[in-house]
Amino acid sequence: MTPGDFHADRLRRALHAEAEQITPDADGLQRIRARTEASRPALWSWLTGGWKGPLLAGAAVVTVVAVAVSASPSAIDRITSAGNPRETVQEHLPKSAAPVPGSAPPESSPAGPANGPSEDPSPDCVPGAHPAPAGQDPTGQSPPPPTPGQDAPDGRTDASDASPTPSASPPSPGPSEEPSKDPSNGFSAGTSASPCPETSPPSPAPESPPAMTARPSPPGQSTRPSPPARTSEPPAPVGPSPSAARPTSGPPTLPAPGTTARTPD
Amino acid sequence: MRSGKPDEEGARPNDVTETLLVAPTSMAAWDADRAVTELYGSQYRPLVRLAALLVRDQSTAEEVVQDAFVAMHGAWRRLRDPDKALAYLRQSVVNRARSVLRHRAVVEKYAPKGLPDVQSAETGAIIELERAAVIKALHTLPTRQREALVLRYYADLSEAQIAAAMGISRGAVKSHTARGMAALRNVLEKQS
Repeated sequence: MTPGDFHADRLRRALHAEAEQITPDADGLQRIRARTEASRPALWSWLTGGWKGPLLAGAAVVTVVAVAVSASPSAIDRITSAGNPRETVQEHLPKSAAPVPGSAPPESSPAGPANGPSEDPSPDCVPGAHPAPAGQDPTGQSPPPPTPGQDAPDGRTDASDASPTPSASPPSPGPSEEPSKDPSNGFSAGTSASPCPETSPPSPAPESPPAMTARPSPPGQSTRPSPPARTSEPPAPVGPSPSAARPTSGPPTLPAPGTTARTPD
Repeated sequence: MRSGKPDEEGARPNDVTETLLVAPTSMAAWDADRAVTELYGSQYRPLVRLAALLVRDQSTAEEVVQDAFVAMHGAWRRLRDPDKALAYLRQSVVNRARSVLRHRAVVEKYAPKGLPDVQSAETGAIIELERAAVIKALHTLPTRQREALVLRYYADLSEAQIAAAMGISRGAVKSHTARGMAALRNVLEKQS
């Protein structure tokens, strides 16, 4: 054992023996608590005391959530559609066009029948147009313009909604698609319209009204050549004139859709 | 033999100072009040003894440790860690003991009076005489050297822990320890 170790061990034993004789008072904790309570702000201790702490925390969370939701109305849509990521994404991507598909399904289904009546003015359309066309026949029959007029508002709204995003390119395919769907695939067109708006929502809806007018001519004339030029023609006279032509071409309307369907495809 | 140096943290705890080195592990989620309560149960007595060895007065040592607990309670939001809390307590005790001694030195300078004795160790037994001589020689050392020796040979802290508690470097800890031991040896040899 070195002298250093001897003195170190001696010091260690002396320190431990000295410390063993020290016994602190038992009221040390009470003194510490009294001092900590005294240094603590009264308001803070009242707020955090007992059940008030968790209650305040919950109220704060509710308030923050309420403010966050009310601040942005779009947040409500996000929350409601949180389960379907596709819907949320699609809704956000074409927000301007989103309303079109929403209104499109109801419009497309009536548009289909409306096209039916317009193409098949009165007698022929009634049988071929199923129930829907019959309900819309009066509008379509009385004046072809009214049906387009009725469709037009829908089409206009759609066109107005769709025009900003898709611009001019969609109108041409629209008319061609709709005529094809009207006669045979009126419902299928409506059903297909729902998926379509997702991929190219604006095109079908806005174009439907012009297609109505354009359709009468295509069946009468032939098949494909119609789309672009007829869109320009339909607004004025085509509605009535094709109606007369269609009765004769009532059966031929079937080929027309197929042909028109081919064109868009 | 305990001649080795506790260079590693937490190395070589003994039965007396074990509570100074080992802290409760499930303290992370405690609030300040519970931390004070739990640390009081495990650390108050060793810290009071440590402070008493530094300030040579039990009542003053208790005040020092209580001040350290109150400070830890106020700083618990920053600590939230048992190891940090214990290190904070230890450093706070050392700093406050140093302040007490500094203040006491000023008071004694203008109104000299006898230092309060912790206990009367001179009861006749040779061991008691030896212990009293060592303690008396220890208190003749400078404050830093005494702190280093107490933290080293009573608390069995490593150099890193002593450096953290004293707020100095490990090299300074080595220097204070070596110089303190040399001075203590000289005093004891003169007495003998």
